[in-house]
Amino acid sequence: MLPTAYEFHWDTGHIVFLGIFYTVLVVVTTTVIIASLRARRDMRKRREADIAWHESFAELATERRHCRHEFDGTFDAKVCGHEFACGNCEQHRALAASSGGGDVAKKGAAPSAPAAPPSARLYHRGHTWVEPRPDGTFDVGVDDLLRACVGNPDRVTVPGVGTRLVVGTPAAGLQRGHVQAHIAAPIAGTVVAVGDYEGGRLYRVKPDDGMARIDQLLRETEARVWMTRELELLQARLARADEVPTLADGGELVPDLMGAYPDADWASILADLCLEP
Amino acid sequence: MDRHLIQRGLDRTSLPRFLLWLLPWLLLGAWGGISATQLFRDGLYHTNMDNRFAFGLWIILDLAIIALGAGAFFLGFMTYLMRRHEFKQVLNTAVIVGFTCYSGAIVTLAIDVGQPIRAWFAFWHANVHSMLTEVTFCITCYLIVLLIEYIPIVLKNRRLRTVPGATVLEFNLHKLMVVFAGVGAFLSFFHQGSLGGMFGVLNGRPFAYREGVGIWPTTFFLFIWSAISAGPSFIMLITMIVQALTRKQLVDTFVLSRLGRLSGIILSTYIVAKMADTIVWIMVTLPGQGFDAAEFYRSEIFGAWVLFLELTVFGLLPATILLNRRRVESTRWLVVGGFLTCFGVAFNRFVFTLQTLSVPTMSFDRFMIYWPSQQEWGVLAGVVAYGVILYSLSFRYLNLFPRERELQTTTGGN
Repeated sequence: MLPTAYEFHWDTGHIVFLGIFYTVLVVVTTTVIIASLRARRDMRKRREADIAWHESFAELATERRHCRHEFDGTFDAKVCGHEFACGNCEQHRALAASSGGGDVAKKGAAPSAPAAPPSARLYHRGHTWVEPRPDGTFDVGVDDLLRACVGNPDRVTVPGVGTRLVVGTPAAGLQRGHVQAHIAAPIAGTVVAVGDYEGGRLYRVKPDDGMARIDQLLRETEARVWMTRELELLQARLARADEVPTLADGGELVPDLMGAYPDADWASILADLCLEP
Repeated sequence: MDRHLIQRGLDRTSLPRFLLWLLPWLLLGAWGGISATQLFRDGLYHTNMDNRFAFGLWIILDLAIIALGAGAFFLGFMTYLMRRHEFKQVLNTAVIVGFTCYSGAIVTLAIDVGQPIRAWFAFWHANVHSMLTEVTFCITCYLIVLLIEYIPIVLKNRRLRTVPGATVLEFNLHKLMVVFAGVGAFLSFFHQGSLGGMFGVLNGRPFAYREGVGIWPTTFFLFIWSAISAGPSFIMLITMIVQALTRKQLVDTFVLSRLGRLSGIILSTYIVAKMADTIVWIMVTLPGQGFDAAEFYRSEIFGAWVLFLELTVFGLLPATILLNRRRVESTRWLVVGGFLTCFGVAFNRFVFTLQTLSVPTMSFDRFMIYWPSQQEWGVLAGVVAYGVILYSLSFRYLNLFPRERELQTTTGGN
């Protein structure tokens, strides 16, 4: 084992065998140390939320990871591989450049989203909307589908003023009975005001450094197609719970689905809608 | 009661039913525990091993489960180094099966050696000319690697992932998993080989002795080869058994077919090499030592049927089944092919361990047989129970099959 043990001899057998053994131990130990150091560095840089979203995204069902350009008809079928951060996607940048658009709002200005008016709502796949305001802040609320699912919540939880939010991590909550929807932050920044859930409005956020990254958000034209698909998925889930086809003709959304389908697995349905891991 | 520990979207049985499932395995585990206690307290006289049968049931168990656990390193190698990403669907289960097999083997070895308090002697006073020293070093290192590979799976537990540091550590460990996959493949290659080499160098045991390349007898390579052929089949079988027990689809069907076919391809090459090795052994090696192969197959227990079974029923037959593209699409044929492959590798280890020691090698020698004692069976039962319990707990509380949730949504669950 070591030259100090009396069986040890400086011969080829000992040097080769123990040399390989120690090399393996060094490789394994070094790799673990590197992983631990990187973990410590990530913790210091407060990347926990980003990493959590990265992990959650990888576990999302394929049907919830469709590329936004499927919704605008550019692709027939494409799964997002960039965690909805379209700014990191070369294809998206090329498409946005060819249509003359951009995704990063300038300081103090409304975001420039092509083919949509500046005041238009933008949508996050976690069923929230973002509404830009003239002062550079953004209102955040729950979209109609999630509101229809929850109906009248018993409790609405919103982040306190001053809370820093990271995209994709739980920021607010809707509770009805024992079921809770953990609503992911659609946009990064600091909370500057809280809403009253009127029209689904939850809170107001001010982007860090005045720069709002909105590339992960869908424009209204894309959101319309996405919402239709989400509704279809929901119909399929509810049909399974009820064992009869529901809204097969695309009928109207009732305002309180939890009340209408009390036996459905709402904890799971809401978690899926909110992109929970 | 324990819903908060179970991954969201995964349908698991109720806690009382789960505990009921664990009960018989816990009883078997208790039998193993009592047997181990007796052996540690009183010594190996509780076993039916003796100077002739220094290797018994436990070594057969060790060799078999280490070969069956080869799926962990081989699928890690295929996924991370060969970039066959479809095997990611069963990689977690392969890691846990591998960890269970290797840790079970080490516990059994510790009981077999009988003096765990002096286990460190094997490392400190290492005999570098012994195949078993290499096996000891490699298995210990590989168990550490498997433990490191297991940690990220555990850290993804629903409760643990709410701890921010746990997710960050899991993420960073996972990014470096390719290193562990490489180290695992390196270590496994050598210890699987050395287990075979250990028999091949037994010059005084002509049934096992083989010639080879350099210091490595042919059994060194054949053991690696057979383990690699059985590993994917074992993971495939485990997945199919879990699917049948839980009545859920856990992986895409094509993944099971590919595991089966992978096994079939390797098994077919192995069986050709095994036949060539057997012919050389019969025609060259044994006559060179003054023996006739027929002498080893004249006993009532180990007749020529042993060789026939090993080469045909557990070799050619499963290879033919698993090589056929149409057959690997069928669950029934996959089960038959996979079972014969896995049983075949265990049978090979049984023959190498027991027949080697049973057959006479001297003119005054006679054929002998050994039957394990109750305590030896108890340890075997305990190791099997430990494996089932660990796997059951992992299946319940960890996300072993990443596609399970999505497949439940698309297939409607059960």
